[in-house]
Amino acid sequence: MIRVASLLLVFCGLSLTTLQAQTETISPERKKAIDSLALEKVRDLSKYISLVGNKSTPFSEAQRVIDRAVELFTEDAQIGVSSLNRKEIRYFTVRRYFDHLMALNYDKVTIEWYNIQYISDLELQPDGRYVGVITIYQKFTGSSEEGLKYEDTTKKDITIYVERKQTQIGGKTIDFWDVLLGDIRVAHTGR
Amino acid sequence: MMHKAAIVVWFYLLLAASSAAQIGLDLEREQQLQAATKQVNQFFRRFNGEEGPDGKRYYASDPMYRAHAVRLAYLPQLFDKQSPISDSLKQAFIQRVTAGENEVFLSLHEGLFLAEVQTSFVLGGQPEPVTLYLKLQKEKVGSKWVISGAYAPYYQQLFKEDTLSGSPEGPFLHPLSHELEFMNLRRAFEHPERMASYLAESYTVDHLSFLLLELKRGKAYFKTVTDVSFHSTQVPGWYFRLKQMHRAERNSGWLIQFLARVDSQHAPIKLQGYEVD
Repeated sequence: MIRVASLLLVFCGLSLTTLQAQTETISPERKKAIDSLALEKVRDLSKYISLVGNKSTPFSEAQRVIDRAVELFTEDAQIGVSSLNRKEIRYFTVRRYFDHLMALNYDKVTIEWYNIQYISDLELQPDGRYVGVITIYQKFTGSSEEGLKYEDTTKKDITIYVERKQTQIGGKTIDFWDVLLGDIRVAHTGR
Repeated sequence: MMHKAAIVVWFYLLLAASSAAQIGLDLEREQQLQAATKQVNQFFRRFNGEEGPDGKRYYASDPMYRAHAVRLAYLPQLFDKQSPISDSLKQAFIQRVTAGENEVFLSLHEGLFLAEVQTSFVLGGQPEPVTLYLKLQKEKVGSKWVISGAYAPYYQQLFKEDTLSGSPEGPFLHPLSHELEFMNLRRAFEHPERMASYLAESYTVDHLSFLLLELKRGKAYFKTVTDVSFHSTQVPGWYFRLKQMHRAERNSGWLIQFLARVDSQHAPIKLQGYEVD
């Protein structure tokens, strides 16, 4: 039901009213439902990263995918990237991160996702929204026509913001939980 | 009631099986990532016995929630095996946190859990390292991390040359200065490098205030975060440091990298520019 309401929100463009700060405790059952909604968004993001990284994706299609990806995030979300050799975090906007991914100088790029994810507890923050972090792992392989190959595994810690919202459908007020992605920390974990 | 030893064996078997069952790119790597303690949140869950070997969250209604045997299986895995922590110290710590009615469980919200964040700021036109200390603060609604201290070698060195501080040869305001309406203060401020002699013994240099002042005046700005670790004294009589180890092996992620007793017979833990509660 929650997912149906959320999808309706996306496709029908219904107006929303954000509720005042919610301080109710989230039950284990509710948490599982929110986790599954959040994971769905993270899977969408993974799919978009793979598509944009893929050299055979046409430029115009990649631009459309980037627009869709940006919609998954809060407006001010940033992506912070570090590597094993360079520990300092470099900051990108979501769009710049995708542009950077699209411009990588390899002839062939393969992006795969390990079948592992960890979802934190949800913590209440002062503005009444809940915040959580989902961790996933990505394997990147880039190769050139000369046979040069680069491989790495990155850990992506993805912020999720969970908010209770209301919408009017057929004169009825329906409550649902919405999830938006926030900052992402990308760290290299070794091969 | 399953025997404790049987639960531990079951736990390990299930851990191996759950990893092997993953449809993976590289099975060994996938098992490493499965075993890694991926978040501080997961460190707490594993420490407390609130997670199964398949990564499933145990809730309070679950029969295995915080089960003694689950904790005994997880706790040894939460130490950095490349750290110099002795086996006997680890054992004593594990015994303490799993001791009968005095069992200790960790919580993000219980306090005594300090974040140390290594950062880089531009100070005096150059990138300079600054250590920030943050703690979790309860709010009317929810909670937030707040900066509670800072340490910057850049500021520290400004006080280093103040060698006459506290020495009888150093300058001072004589004890009848008040009769002159402290007109001799002028002399004190003529030599800023020797100011410490004029300050109360209890005065401590507060780098966070310096940093805030410079930020507000546009003389400093933040560059980046370079490293993070956590300091905890939540286990009575013990201190440990938690750090994330990025490496391609099972013993990786957020692990205890340093462990020490902090009871009355042992020295208190002091960090650069900060004292652990």
